Amino acid sequence: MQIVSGVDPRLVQPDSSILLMAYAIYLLLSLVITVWVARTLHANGRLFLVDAFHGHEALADSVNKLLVVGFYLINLGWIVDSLRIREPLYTAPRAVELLADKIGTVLLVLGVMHFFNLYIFNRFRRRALDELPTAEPPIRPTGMLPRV
Amino acid sequence: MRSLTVYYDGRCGLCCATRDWIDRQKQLVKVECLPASEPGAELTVIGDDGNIWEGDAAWIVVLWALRDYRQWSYRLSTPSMLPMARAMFAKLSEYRGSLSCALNLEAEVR
Repeated sequence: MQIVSGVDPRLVQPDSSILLMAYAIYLLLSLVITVWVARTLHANGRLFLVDAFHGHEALADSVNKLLVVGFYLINLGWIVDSLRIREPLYTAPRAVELLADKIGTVLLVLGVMHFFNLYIFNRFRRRALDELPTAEPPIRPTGMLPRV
Repeated sequence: MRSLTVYYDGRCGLCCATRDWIDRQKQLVKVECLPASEPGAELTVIGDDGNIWEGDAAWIVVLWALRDYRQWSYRLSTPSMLPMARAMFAKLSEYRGSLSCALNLEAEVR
């Protein structure tokens, strides 16, 4: 490990092993978190979808799988796309800072995607419930036919 | 409620066009449209359970009966939207005669 303080910065070379390590940790952590969120979504979103498709389980499972695939594509795309660290890395503490920045952004993106998915699940379900034969009109009658 | 009957103004071209449009829609509750016996009367909806909706409420119940517009009926009947929806439907009813002329819609009953 190099100690930068007290050394002319022009003499210190960026450390590519730190950079590689940072990339490896970033990819590993991001992947683990993405898989965890996707599995949670897959396991717990199913009930909403079964309700939304009036108990049609095969259809619900299929839509559930398609939603998870979309979730993986967007998140992995984001993770891979924002992999690159643009500044030369000299020290491990700086690498940790940049790593925290990147993983923080990944977490925020995952969070937004997760709530967006919940919103979609709930909208499907609400719509299905509204279309049940037992649904009532949203407005009160203004009168009643006299009973014969 | 499984079906409802809409009594519309048969002298109004806009109302006849709307009736044709309703007949083309996917219905969650069966909608039957009949010209009102009293011409020039307010739009009235009667459900098979005996409930009556008149005027702007009738418009919202008709939307509710149509599959593609049910969500709109919920949106329009929220407290924030209802006054606006009422005003809009009231104006539409008030000017249905002149609107029918302007849009060149022919009525079937004279």
